[in-house]
Amino acid sequence: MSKPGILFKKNTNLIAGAVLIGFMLIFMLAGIIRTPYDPNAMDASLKFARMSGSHPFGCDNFGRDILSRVMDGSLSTFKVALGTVFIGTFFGILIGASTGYFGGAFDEILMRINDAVFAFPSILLALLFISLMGGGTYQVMIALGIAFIPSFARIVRAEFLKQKNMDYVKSLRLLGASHFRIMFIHILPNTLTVLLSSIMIGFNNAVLAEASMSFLGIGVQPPDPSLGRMLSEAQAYLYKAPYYAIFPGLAIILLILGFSLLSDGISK
Amino acid sequence: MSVILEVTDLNIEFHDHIIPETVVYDFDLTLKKGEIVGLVGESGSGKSMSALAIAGLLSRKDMKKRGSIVYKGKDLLTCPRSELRLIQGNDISMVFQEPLTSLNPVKTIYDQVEEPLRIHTKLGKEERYEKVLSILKDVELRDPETVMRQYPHELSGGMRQRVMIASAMITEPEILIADEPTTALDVTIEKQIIRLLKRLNKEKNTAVIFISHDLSLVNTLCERVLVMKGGYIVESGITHDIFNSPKEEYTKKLIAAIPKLPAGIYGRDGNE
Amino acid sequence: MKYAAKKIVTMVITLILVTFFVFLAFNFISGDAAVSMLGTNASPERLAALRHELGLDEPVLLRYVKWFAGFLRGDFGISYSYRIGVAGMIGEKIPVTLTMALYAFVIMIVISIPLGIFAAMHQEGWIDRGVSVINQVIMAIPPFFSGILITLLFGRIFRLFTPGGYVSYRTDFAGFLGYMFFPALAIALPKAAMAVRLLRGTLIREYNMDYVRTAFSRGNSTKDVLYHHMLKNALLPAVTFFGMALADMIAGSIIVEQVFSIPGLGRILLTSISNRDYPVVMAVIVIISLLVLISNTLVDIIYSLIDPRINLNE
Repeated sequence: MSKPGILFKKNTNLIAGAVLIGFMLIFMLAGIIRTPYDPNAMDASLKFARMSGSHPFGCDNFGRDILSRVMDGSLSTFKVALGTVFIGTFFGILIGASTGYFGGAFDEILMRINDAVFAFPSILLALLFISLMGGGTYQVMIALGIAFIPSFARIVRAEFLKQKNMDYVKSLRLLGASHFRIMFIHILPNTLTVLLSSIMIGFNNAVLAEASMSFLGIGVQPPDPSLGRMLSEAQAYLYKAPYYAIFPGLAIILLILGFSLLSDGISK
Repeated sequence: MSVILEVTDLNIEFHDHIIPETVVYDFDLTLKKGEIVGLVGESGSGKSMSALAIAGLLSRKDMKKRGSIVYKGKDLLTCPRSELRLIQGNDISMVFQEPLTSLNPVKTIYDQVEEPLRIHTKLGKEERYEKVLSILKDVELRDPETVMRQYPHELSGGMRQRVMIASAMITEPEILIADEPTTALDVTIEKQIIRLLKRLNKEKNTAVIFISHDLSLVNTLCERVLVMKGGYIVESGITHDIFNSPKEEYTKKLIAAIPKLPAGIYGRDGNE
Repeated sequence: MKYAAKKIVTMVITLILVTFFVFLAFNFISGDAAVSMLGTNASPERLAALRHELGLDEPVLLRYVKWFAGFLRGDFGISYSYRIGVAGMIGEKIPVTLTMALYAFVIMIVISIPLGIFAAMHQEGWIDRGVSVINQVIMAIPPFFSGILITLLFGRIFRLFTPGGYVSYRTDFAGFLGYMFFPALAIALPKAAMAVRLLRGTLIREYNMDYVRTAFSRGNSTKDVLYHHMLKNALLPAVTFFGMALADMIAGSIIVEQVFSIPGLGRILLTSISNRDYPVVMAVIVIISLLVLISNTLVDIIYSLIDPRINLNE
C-alpha cells in the first residue's frame, strides 16, 4: 500500500542539519575573510573582559577576543575533519570496493585486519599513531584518517557485496566493461546515499576526535586557536569566566549536532 | 449445533491516510460449534483483516471498526481490553501464515507452547509440562521432549507450524482462526497440516475459520465458505455447491486459477 | 561453553598480534632508546653499555618474546624518563581508569534502558518528541565539554563535589566513589543518549514483528508482551552497542581524566607521549587494548547467551 502522507512529510532532520551546518560554514567563511579582531592579539587591559558590544563573546586570559578565536578555531577543527574524512573515505572506498567486489582470500584477510582495527576506539588508535609520529595538525589529520578507514571500508564493502550480484552488473560484464569501470563508474554512484550518510557521520566523529585531541594538547599547536585547546585553557578560569568555555563548546556541539542531523536526514 | 460466534455488519476503516480507506464492508458470519468455515479471496480482499478483527488483534488507533462480533453473549468490539484478553488464546486462538517470524526467536518451543496455560490457567508446573508434552504429541511432532527444548530456527517449516498449532490448541479453544497456515510450506507438508487441522477439529470439537487464497484447499477442508473481494463478501454457502456451480464471475476465476497438479503429487503423503 | 572458549582463544590470538605490531612499530619508529635517554652527545661506550643493559642489542623477535613474557608476569620494562619499573608506575592507575569506565557503563545502562522503553511506549507523543530532541543534543556534547559543564553546575554552583579534589581509593574509598561519579556521568551521558535512541528505535521496530502479534493473540497484556517477548529481542542490538560503548568509555576516560584532574592511565599516557617515554606509552596502550579486548569478548559471550541462534551458526 502506498502512503502518500510520507512523500510530503518534511524531512525535519535534513533541514535542521543543513541550517546548522550552513550557519557554521558561513561563520567560518566569514572568519577566513576577516575576523573582528586578530585572534592572537593580546591586550592586558581586556583580560577576562565580559561579553559586550565590541566583544560579543568576551575576552580570554590574555585579553584575546573569544569570538575571533572561536571563528578561527572552528575553521581549523573543520579543516582537520575535512582531511580526516577525505583520507578515511578515499582509502575506505578503495579497500571496501575491491574487497567487496572481488571477494576471495584477499577480502578475507583484509576484513579480518579491518575488524580487529575497527574494534579499537579511534581515540586510542590516534594516540598510538601520535605517539609514534609526534603531535601537530597534519599528524592528527593522518592519525584520525587512518583510524577512520575501517569503518568506511566496512560500509562500502557491504554495499558492493549487495550490488555486485545485481543484473545490471552482470549485463555490464557481458558487454565487456572492465572491472575498474564497473566498480567506480557504475556501482559507486549507486552507493551514494549510504556513502553520503556515512561521510556525515564521519564528519561528526572527526570533529569530536579533533576537538578531543586538541583538548589533550596534541593537535593544533599554539598560538593558533583550536576549539579543544580553548576549552582546556578555559577550564582553569571556569568560575571567573564561564563564557570562555561555553562558546567554543557550543561551536563544537553545533558542528557535531549539524552533521549527525544531516546523516539522519540523508539516510531517511 | 449451537451458534458460538455471530459477526454482523463488521466494517473496518483505516485512518492513516488523508482519505479514510475501508478494507472490510458489512462482513457477516455465523459460526456454529465445531464447524469449519473457509474464507477465500485474493490478497487485499479483506479476509485477513476480518480474521484479525475477530481475534481482537486490530487495535491500532488509526483504525475504526463498526458492527458487532458477539462471542458467547459478549461483543468483542466494545468490551474492555482486559475482558478481551481473557478470551484471546483461551477461547479464540490464531495460527499465522509465516511460522518462523510468528514464533519468538529467542524463546524455547516449550515456553511458547506453554504460555497460554500460564496466562489462562492456574495449573502447576508439572501439570503444564504434561499438557505441553501431550499437545506436542497431538500435533504429531516426533520426539517432543527434544523439540520442546529447541528454538524456532532449529526446526523445519512444517514443524514450526505444528508448534504454532500446538500453542493455539493447548487451551482447547472454541474457535481456531488459521490465516493461510500452509502458504509458506511446500505441498506435501501442506497436505499433512490440513489433515492435522481436520483431525483436531473432529477430536476437540473446535470450530475453525480457515483463511486461504486457494479454493481447492478450502474445498478439501471446509463445509462452508465465504468468498471475499475488495472488502465485500461476494458469495457464500456450502463449499461443494459453490465449487461445482459458482454464481459470481470472481469465484469462477478463483476456481480457474487452481493449478492442475498431476494427481500423484497431491495425493501422496509426504514425509518430513 | 564451546563458543565462549573459542572467543577467548580468538581474543588471546588478537592480543598477541596487537602487541606484536605495537612492539614492532615502537621498535622501528621510536629510534634508538639509548640515544633518547642519554642524549646525542653521549659516548659510544656508554650508549653500547646502556643498549646492553636494556637488551636492545638482541634480535627483535627475541625481544618481543621476552617483552611478552614479562607482560604476562606484570613486568613492563623500565621507564626511560624515571629509570624505574613501568609496572610500579602504572599499576595503581589501572583501577582508577577501570572504575571510571565501569561506573560510566553502569550509569549508561541505568539511564538508558528505562528511558528507551518509556520513549518507545509513548511513541509520537510530546514526551517522546521532547526526549528525542534532548537526546539529539546530548549526543552531540563531547564528554570533555559535558565534564566542564558538570564541574560548573555540580561543582561550582551546587557544590556537590570539589572540582580537582580527587581522593585516592586507597585513602578513602567512599570519597573516591563519590568523586568519580561526576566524571563517569560526563562519559556516560552521550552514550546513554545514543542507547536510548537505539532502544527506542529497536522496540518500535520489534513491535511490528509477527511474533508480537502472536503474543497478543495468546492473551498477553501490552506490558507482558513488552517484558516477556520484545525486550530480550530488542536487547540484542543494544548489547552490541553497549560493548562498543564500553570500549569507547575506556578510551574516553583518558580525556575526561584531564577535566577532573584524576591521576589515571590517561595522564601518565599523555606525559609519556610528550616525554617520548616509549616503554610507558606502550604499556598503557597495551593495557587499554587488553581491557577493550576483554570487553569485546565478554559482549560476544553475553550476546550468545541471549541469542540462541548464535551457537548453531558457529
